[in-house]
Amino acid sequence: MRLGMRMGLKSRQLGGSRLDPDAKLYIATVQAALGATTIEAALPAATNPKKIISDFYKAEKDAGRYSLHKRIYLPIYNNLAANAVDAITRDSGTFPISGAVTVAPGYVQGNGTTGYFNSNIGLPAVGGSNGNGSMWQIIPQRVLGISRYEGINGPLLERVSIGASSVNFNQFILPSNNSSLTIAISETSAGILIGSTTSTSSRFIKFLKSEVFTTQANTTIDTSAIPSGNLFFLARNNNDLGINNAHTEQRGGYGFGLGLTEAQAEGYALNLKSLYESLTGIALP
Amino acid sequence: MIGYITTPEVSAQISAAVREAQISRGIAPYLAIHGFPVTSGEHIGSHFLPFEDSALTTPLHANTRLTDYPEFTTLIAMLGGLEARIDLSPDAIYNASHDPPV
Repeated sequence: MRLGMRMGLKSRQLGGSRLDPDAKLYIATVQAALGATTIEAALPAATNPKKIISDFYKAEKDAGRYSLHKRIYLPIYNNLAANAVDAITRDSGTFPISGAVTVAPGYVQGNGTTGYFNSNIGLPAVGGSNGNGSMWQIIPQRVLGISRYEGINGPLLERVSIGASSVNFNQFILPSNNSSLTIAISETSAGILIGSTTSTSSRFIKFLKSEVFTTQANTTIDTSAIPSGNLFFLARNNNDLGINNAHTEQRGGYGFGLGLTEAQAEGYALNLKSLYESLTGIALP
Repeated sequence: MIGYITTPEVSAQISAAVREAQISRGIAPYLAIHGFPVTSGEHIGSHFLPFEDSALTTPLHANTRLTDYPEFTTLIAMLGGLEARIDLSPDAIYNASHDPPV
Protein backbone atom coordinates (compact mmCIF):
# COMPACT_ATOMS: atom_id res chain seq x y z
CA MET A 1 0.00 0.00 0.00
CA ARG A 2 2.77 2.45 0.99
CA LEU A 3 4.75 1.68 -2.22
CA GLY A 4 1.57 2.10 -4.25
CA MET A 5 0.88 5.50 -2.67
CA ARG A 6 4.44 6.68 -3.42
CA MET A 7 3.82 5.67 -7.00
CA GLY A 8 0.73 7.85 -7.08
CA LEU A 9 -1.78 5.04 -6.89
CA LYS A 10 -4.81 5.41 -4.65
CA SER A 11 -5.93 2.50 -2.55
CA ARG A 12 -9.09 2.11 -4.62
CA GLN A 13 -7.02 1.67 -7.77
CA LEU A 14 -5.20 -1.17 -6.04
CA GLY A 15 -8.50 -2.89 -5.44
CA GLY A 16 -8.51 -2.17 -1.70
CA SER A 17 -11.67 -0.05 -1.43
CA ARG A 18 -12.18 0.95 2.16
CA LEU A 19 -15.11 -0.25 4.17
CA ASP A 20 -17.29 2.28 5.95
CA PRO A 21 -16.02 2.45 9.58
CA ASP A 22 -19.43 1.75 11.12
CA ALA A 23 -19.95 -1.14 8.71
CA LYS A 24 -16.56 -2.49 9.77
CA LEU A 25 -17.58 -2.44 13.45
CA TYR A 26 -20.87 -4.20 12.66
CA ILE A 27 -19.14 -6.83 10.54
CA ALA A 28 -16.61 -7.46 13.32
CA THR A 29 -19.40 -7.91 15.88
CA VAL A 30 -21.29 -10.31 13.62
CA GLN A 31 -18.07 -12.20 12.88
CA ALA A 32 -17.36 -12.60 16.60
CA ALA A 33 -20.87 -14.00 17.06
CA LEU A 34 -20.39 -16.43 14.17
CA GLY A 35 -17.10 -17.76 15.52
CA ALA A 36 -15.22 -19.97 13.09
CA THR A 37 -17.84 -19.51 10.39
CA THR A 38 -16.83 -16.54 8.26
CA ILE A 39 -19.41 -13.97 7.29
CA GLU A 40 -18.78 -15.04 3.68
CA ALA A 41 -19.66 -18.63 4.59
CA ALA A 42 -22.73 -17.50 6.51
CA LEU A 43 -23.95 -15.60 3.45
CA PRO A 44 -23.02 -17.96 0.59
CA ALA A 45 -25.25 -16.22 -1.96
CA ALA A 46 -23.46 -12.90 -1.53
CA THR A 47 -20.54 -11.76 -3.65
CA ASN A 48 -18.30 -9.82 -1.24
CA PRO A 49 -20.80 -9.40 1.64
CA LYS A 50 -18.55 -6.96 3.49
CA LYS A 51 -18.63 -4.55 0.56
CA ILE A 52 -22.40 -4.97 0.22
CA ILE A 53 -22.87 -4.08 3.89
CA SER A 54 -20.45 -1.18 3.62
CA ASP A 55 -22.24 0.18 0.55
CA PHE A 56 -25.51 0.10 2.51
CA TYR A 57 -24.02 2.23 5.29
CA LYS A 58 -22.44 4.63 2.80
CA ALA A 59 -25.73 5.07 0.96
CA GLU A 60 -27.58 5.89 4.19
CA LYS A 61 -24.92 8.39 5.19
CA ASP A 62 -24.75 9.99 1.73
CA ALA A 63 -28.54 10.41 1.77
CA GLY A 64 -28.47 12.03 5.23
CA ARG A 65 -30.62 9.28 6.76
CA TYR A 66 -28.10 7.43 8.91
CA SER A 67 -28.63 9.46 12.10
CA LEU A 68 -32.38 8.76 11.92
CA HIS A 69 -31.89 4.99 12.20
CA LYS A 70 -31.74 3.80 15.80
CA ARG A 71 -31.95 0.03 15.46
CA ILE A 72 -31.38 -2.12 12.36
CA TYR A 73 -31.51 -5.91 12.75
CA LEU A 74 -30.66 -8.31 9.94
CA PRO A 75 -31.59 -11.80 11.18
CA ILE A 76 -30.21 -13.53 8.10
CA TYR A 77 -27.11 -15.35 9.37
CA ASN A 78 -28.61 -18.69 10.43
CA ASN A 79 -27.19 -18.03 13.89
CA LEU A 80 -29.14 -16.66 16.85
CA ALA A 81 -26.27 -14.53 18.27
CA ALA A 82 -25.37 -12.90 14.94
CA ASN A 83 -29.04 -12.31 14.19
CA ALA A 84 -29.43 -10.36 17.45
CA VAL A 85 -26.77 -7.74 16.63
CA ASP A 86 -27.99 -4.19 15.99
CA ALA A 87 -26.21 -2.65 12.99
CA ILE A 88 -26.24 0.83 14.55
CA THR A 89 -25.06 0.37 18.16
CA ARG A 90 -23.72 -3.21 17.86
CA ASP A 91 -25.73 -4.00 21.03
CA SER A 92 -27.63 -7.26 21.15
CA GLY A 93 -31.36 -7.68 21.42
CA THR A 94 -32.59 -10.94 22.93
CA PHE A 95 -34.21 -14.04 21.54
CA PRO A 96 -35.85 -16.64 23.79
CA ILE A 97 -33.61 -19.56 24.70
CA SER A 98 -36.57 -21.89 24.26
CA GLY A 99 -36.28 -22.74 20.59
CA ALA A 100 -39.41 -20.67 19.89
CA VAL A 101 -37.62 -18.80 17.10
CA THR A 102 -36.32 -20.73 14.11
CA VAL A 103 -33.17 -19.45 12.42
CA ALA A 104 -32.60 -20.12 8.74
CA PRO A 105 -30.46 -18.65 5.97
CA GLY A 106 -32.08 -15.31 5.18
CA TYR A 107 -34.75 -15.09 7.87
CA VAL A 108 -36.10 -15.85 11.33
CA GLN A 109 -39.54 -17.16 12.15
CA GLY A 110 -41.46 -17.31 15.42
CA ASN A 111 -43.61 -20.24 16.53
CA GLY A 112 -46.82 -18.22 16.89
CA THR A 113 -47.13 -18.63 20.66
CA THR A 114 -43.97 -17.85 22.63
CA GLY A 115 -41.51 -16.66 19.94
CA TYR A 116 -40.34 -13.06 19.94
CA PHE A 117 -37.33 -10.77 19.60
CA ASN A 118 -36.81 -8.08 22.24
CA SER A 119 -34.85 -5.02 21.12
CA ASN A 120 -34.36 -4.19 24.82
CA ILE A 121 -35.17 -0.53 24.22
CA GLY A 122 -38.21 1.64 23.57
CA LEU A 123 -38.76 4.46 21.11
CA PRO A 124 -38.59 7.32 23.69
CA ALA A 125 -35.18 6.11 24.87
CA VAL A 126 -33.72 6.65 21.39
CA GLY A 127 -35.23 10.12 21.01
CA GLY A 128 -38.57 9.19 19.46
CA SER A 129 -41.82 10.82 20.44
CA ASN A 130 -45.48 10.84 19.47
CA GLY A 131 -44.64 12.89 16.38
CA ASN A 132 -41.26 11.43 15.56
CA GLY A 133 -40.75 7.76 14.86
CA SER A 134 -40.55 4.99 12.30
CA MET A 135 -40.70 1.20 12.11
CA TRP A 136 -40.09 -1.23 9.26
CA GLN A 137 -40.05 -4.92 8.34
CA ILE A 138 -38.54 -7.02 5.57
CA ILE A 139 -41.09 -9.77 4.84
CA PRO A 140 -39.64 -12.56 2.65
CA GLN A 141 -42.72 -14.75 2.91
CA ARG A 142 -46.23 -14.19 4.21
CA VAL A 143 -48.34 -16.27 6.57
CA LEU A 144 -51.93 -15.13 6.11
CA GLY A 145 -54.97 -15.41 8.34
CA ILE A 146 -53.34 -14.39 11.64
CA SER A 147 -52.52 -11.03 13.25
CA ARG A 148 -48.85 -10.14 12.85
CA TYR A 149 -48.30 -6.96 14.84
CA GLU A 150 -44.92 -5.98 16.26
CA GLY A 151 -43.77 -3.17 18.55
CA ILE A 152 -45.58 -2.41 21.80
CA ASN A 153 -48.99 -1.63 23.20
CA GLY A 154 -49.42 0.23 26.48
CA PRO A 155 -52.11 -0.10 29.16
CA LEU A 156 -54.65 2.03 27.27
CA LEU A 157 -53.82 0.30 23.96
CA GLU A 158 -51.66 3.22 22.93
CA ARG A 159 -49.26 1.72 20.47
CA VAL A 160 -46.02 1.92 18.56
CA SER A 161 -46.86 -0.84 16.17
CA ILE A 162 -46.49 -2.11 12.65
CA GLY A 163 -47.78 -5.29 11.06
CA ALA A 164 -50.80 -6.86 9.49
CA SER A 165 -54.24 -7.90 10.64
CA SER A 166 -55.74 -11.34 10.18
CA VAL A 167 -57.58 -9.96 7.14
CA ASN A 168 -54.33 -8.61 5.66
CA PHE A 169 -54.56 -4.91 6.38
CA ASN A 170 -50.94 -3.81 6.82
CA GLN A 171 -51.00 -1.14 9.49
CA PHE A 172 -48.80 1.36 11.28
CA ILE A 173 -49.84 3.10 14.48
CA LEU A 174 -47.85 5.68 16.43
CA PRO A 175 -48.90 6.48 19.08
CA SER A 176 -52.64 6.29 18.82
CA ASN A 177 -55.01 4.31 20.97
CA ASN A 178 -57.73 5.37 18.56
CA SER A 179 -58.30 2.70 15.94
CA SER A 180 -60.04 5.22 13.68
CA LEU A 181 -56.61 6.79 13.12
CA THR A 182 -55.17 3.54 11.83
CA ILE A 183 -53.65 3.74 8.38
CA ALA A 184 -53.80 0.57 6.37
CA ILE A 185 -52.76 -0.97 3.06
CA SER A 186 -54.47 -4.14 1.90
CA GLU A 187 -51.61 -6.37 0.79
CA THR A 188 -50.79 -10.08 0.94
CA SER A 189 -47.50 -10.10 -0.92
CA ALA A 190 -43.99 -10.39 0.45
CA GLY A 191 -42.07 -7.10 0.40
CA ILE A 192 -40.99 -4.27 2.66
CA LEU A 193 -43.37 -2.43 4.98
CA ILE A 194 -42.37 0.91 6.51
CA GLY A 195 -44.32 3.40 8.59
CA SER A 196 -43.29 6.80 9.87
CA THR A 197 -44.50 9.92 11.56
CA THR A 198 -42.79 13.31 11.49
CA SER A 199 -45.39 15.28 13.45
CA THR A 200 -48.46 14.60 15.56
CA SER A 201 -50.56 15.31 12.48
CA SER A 202 -48.64 13.47 9.79
CA ARG A 203 -48.13 9.72 9.54
CA PHE A 204 -47.92 7.32 6.65
CA ILE A 205 -47.37 3.69 5.77
CA LYS A 206 -45.73 2.41 2.59
CA PHE A 207 -45.42 -1.03 1.06
CA LEU A 208 -42.67 -1.73 -1.48
CA LYS A 209 -43.36 -4.38 -4.11
CA SER A 210 -42.02 -4.65 -7.65
CA GLU A 211 -40.12 -1.36 -7.24
CA VAL A 212 -43.45 0.41 -6.66
CA PHE A 213 -44.66 1.97 -3.41
CA THR A 214 -48.25 1.85 -2.22
CA THR A 215 -48.88 4.62 0.32
CA GLN A 216 -51.56 5.53 2.83
CA ALA A 217 -51.36 8.66 4.99
CA ASN A 218 -53.27 10.32 7.79
CA THR A 219 -53.10 13.96 8.94
CA THR A 220 -55.39 13.85 11.98
CA ILE A 221 -53.81 15.39 15.08
CA ASP A 222 -53.09 12.76 17.72
CA THR A 223 -51.16 13.60 20.89
CA SER A 224 -51.79 10.35 22.79
CA ALA A 225 -49.09 9.20 25.17
CA ILE A 226 -46.37 7.02 23.72
CA PRO A 227 -45.54 3.71 25.43
CA SER A 228 -41.98 3.62 26.70
CA GLY A 229 -41.45 -0.13 26.90
CA ASN A 230 -39.20 -2.20 24.69
CA LEU A 231 -40.15 -2.72 21.06
CA PHE A 232 -40.57 -6.40 20.12
CA PHE A 233 -40.55 -8.15 16.76
CA LEU A 234 -42.08 -11.52 15.75
CA ALA A 235 -44.70 -10.58 18.37
CA ARG A 236 -45.73 -7.41 20.21
CA ASN A 237 -44.73 -6.36 23.71
CA ASN A 238 -47.99 -6.50 25.64
CA ASN A 239 -47.65 -3.58 28.06
CA ASP A 240 -44.54 -5.23 29.58
CA LEU A 241 -46.77 -8.11 30.82
CA GLY A 242 -45.93 -10.59 28.09
CA ILE A 243 -46.48 -10.77 24.35
CA ASN A 244 -49.41 -10.73 21.99
CA ASN A 245 -49.92 -11.25 18.28
CA ALA A 246 -47.07 -13.78 18.14
CA HIS A 247 -46.95 -15.00 14.56
CA THR A 248 -45.10 -17.36 12.23
CA GLU A 249 -44.39 -14.97 9.36
CA GLN A 250 -40.79 -14.79 8.17
CA ARG A 251 -38.71 -11.71 8.87
CA GLY A 252 -35.52 -10.86 6.99
CA GLY A 253 -35.02 -7.59 8.82
CA TYR A 254 -36.69 -5.14 11.17
CA GLY A 255 -35.94 -1.98 13.03
CA PHE A 256 -37.00 1.46 14.08
CA GLY A 257 -35.81 5.00 14.38
CA LEU A 258 -36.82 8.62 14.21
CA GLY A 259 -39.30 10.02 11.76
CA LEU A 260 -38.56 9.72 8.06
CA THR A 261 -40.16 11.87 5.39
CA GLU A 262 -41.92 10.03 2.59
CA ALA A 263 -38.91 10.52 0.30
CA GLN A 264 -36.52 9.31 3.00
CA ALA A 265 -38.68 6.24 3.70
CA GLU A 266 -38.75 5.31 0.02
CA GLY A 267 -34.99 5.76 -0.37
CA TYR A 268 -34.36 3.70 2.75
CA ALA A 269 -36.73 0.90 1.72
CA LEU A 270 -35.04 0.62 -1.67
CA ASN A 271 -31.62 0.48 0.00
CA LEU A 272 -32.87 -2.21 2.40
CA LYS A 273 -34.23 -4.23 -0.52
CA SER A 274 -30.90 -4.06 -2.33
CA LEU A 275 -29.00 -5.02 0.85
CA TYR A 276 -31.28 -7.95 1.66
CA GLU A 277 -31.40 -9.40 -1.84
CA SER A 278 -27.64 -9.03 -2.38
CA LEU A 279 -26.76 -10.65 0.95
CA THR A 280 -29.24 -13.52 0.89
CA GLY A 281 -29.92 -14.21 -2.77
CA ILE A 282 -33.62 -14.15 -1.86
CA ALA A 283 -35.58 -11.99 -4.29
CA LEU A 284 -38.32 -9.83 -2.84
CA PRO A 285 -41.18 -9.05 -5.19
CA MET B 1 -46.43 -25.60 23.85
CA ILE B 2 -43.65 -27.70 25.35
CA GLY B 3 -41.94 -26.48 28.51
CA TYR B 4 -41.73 -26.42 32.28
CA ILE B 5 -44.18 -25.41 34.95
CA THR B 6 -42.36 -23.76 37.82
CA THR B 7 -42.73 -21.06 40.45
CA PRO B 8 -42.19 -17.38 39.65
CA GLU B 9 -39.17 -17.47 42.00
CA VAL B 10 -37.44 -20.34 40.19
CA SER B 11 -38.34 -18.72 36.88
CA ALA B 12 -36.58 -15.52 37.98
CA GLN B 13 -33.52 -17.47 39.21
CA ILE B 14 -33.18 -19.29 35.91
CA SER B 15 -33.61 -16.07 33.96
CA ALA B 16 -30.79 -14.48 35.96
CA ALA B 17 -28.57 -17.55 35.54
CA VAL B 18 -29.01 -17.55 31.76
CA ARG B 19 -28.02 -13.89 31.64
CA GLU B 20 -25.01 -14.43 33.93
CA ALA B 21 -23.76 -17.39 31.87
CA GLN B 22 -23.42 -15.05 28.88
CA ILE B 23 -21.99 -12.04 30.73
CA SER B 24 -19.38 -14.18 32.49
CA ARG B 25 -18.06 -15.21 29.09
CA GLY B 26 -17.90 -11.62 27.84
CA ILE B 27 -20.83 -12.16 25.50
CA ALA B 28 -23.51 -9.50 25.17
CA PRO B 29 -26.64 -11.29 26.38
CA TYR B 30 -28.65 -12.32 23.32
CA LEU B 31 -30.52 -15.21 24.93
CA ALA B 32 -33.24 -14.77 27.50
CA ILE B 33 -35.71 -17.02 29.21
CA HIS B 34 -39.10 -15.57 29.93
CA GLY B 35 -41.47 -17.15 32.39
CA PHE B 36 -45.01 -16.67 31.15
CA PRO B 37 -47.55 -16.31 34.00
CA VAL B 38 -50.17 -19.04 33.72
CA THR B 39 -53.54 -17.30 33.87
CA SER B 40 -55.97 -20.22 33.53
CA GLY B 41 -56.22 -23.98 34.02
CA GLU B 42 -54.74 -26.26 36.62
CA HIS B 43 -51.37 -24.48 36.78
CA ILE B 44 -52.78 -21.00 37.38
CA GLY B 45 -50.37 -18.85 39.39
CA SER B 46 -47.32 -20.75 38.16
CA HIS B 47 -44.88 -19.72 35.47
CA PHE B 48 -44.47 -21.52 32.18
CA LEU B 49 -40.95 -21.72 30.77
CA PRO B 50 -41.20 -22.72 27.10
CA PHE B 51 -38.53 -25.18 26.01
CA GLU B 52 -38.90 -26.89 22.66
CA ASP B 53 -36.63 -29.70 21.41
CA SER B 54 -35.42 -27.30 18.73
CA ALA B 55 -33.67 -25.28 21.45
CA LEU B 56 -31.06 -28.05 21.62
CA THR B 57 -30.06 -27.70 17.98
CA THR B 58 -30.35 -23.94 17.39
CA PRO B 59 -26.94 -22.48 16.34
CA LEU B 60 -25.70 -20.13 19.06
CA HIS B 61 -22.70 -17.86 19.64
CA ALA B 62 -19.57 -19.07 17.85
CA ASN B 63 -21.45 -22.09 16.51
CA THR B 64 -22.11 -23.58 19.93
CA ARG B 65 -25.25 -25.37 21.06
CA LEU B 66 -26.93 -25.17 24.47
CA THR B 67 -25.52 -28.57 25.38
CA ASP B 68 -21.98 -27.16 25.06
CA TYR B 69 -22.55 -25.10 28.21
CA PRO B 70 -22.18 -26.82 31.60
CA GLU B 71 -24.71 -24.40 33.12
CA PHE B 72 -27.36 -25.81 30.80
CA THR B 73 -27.12 -29.25 32.40
CA THR B 74 -27.44 -27.69 35.85
CA LEU B 75 -30.46 -25.59 34.92
CA ILE B 76 -32.30 -28.46 33.26
CA ALA B 77 -31.56 -30.64 36.29
CA MET B 78 -33.06 -27.90 38.53
CA LEU B 79 -36.24 -28.21 36.49
CA GLY B 80 -36.37 -31.99 36.73
CA GLY B 81 -34.72 -32.93 33.43
CA LEU B 82 -36.02 -32.77 29.90
CA GLU B 83 -38.59 -35.45 30.63
CA ALA B 84 -40.27 -33.17 33.21
CA ARG B 85 -41.58 -30.89 30.47
CA ILE B 86 -45.30 -30.77 29.79
CA ASP B 87 -47.46 -29.85 26.80
CA LEU B 88 -49.45 -26.76 27.82
CA SER B 89 -52.33 -25.26 25.86
CA PRO B 90 -51.52 -21.71 24.64
CA ASP B 91 -54.83 -20.63 26.20
CA ALA B 92 -53.25 -21.06 29.63
CA ILE B 93 -50.94 -18.07 29.12
CA TYR B 94 -53.19 -16.06 26.82
CA ASN B 95 -54.95 -13.07 28.31
CA ALA B 96 -57.57 -11.70 25.95
CA SER B 97 -57.90 -8.45 27.88
CA HIS B 98 -54.30 -7.68 26.97
CA ASP B 99 -54.69 -8.46 23.30
CA PRO B 100 -55.78 -5.39 21.37
CA PRO B 101 -57.41 -6.10 18.02
CA VAL B 102 -55.04 -4.04 15.88
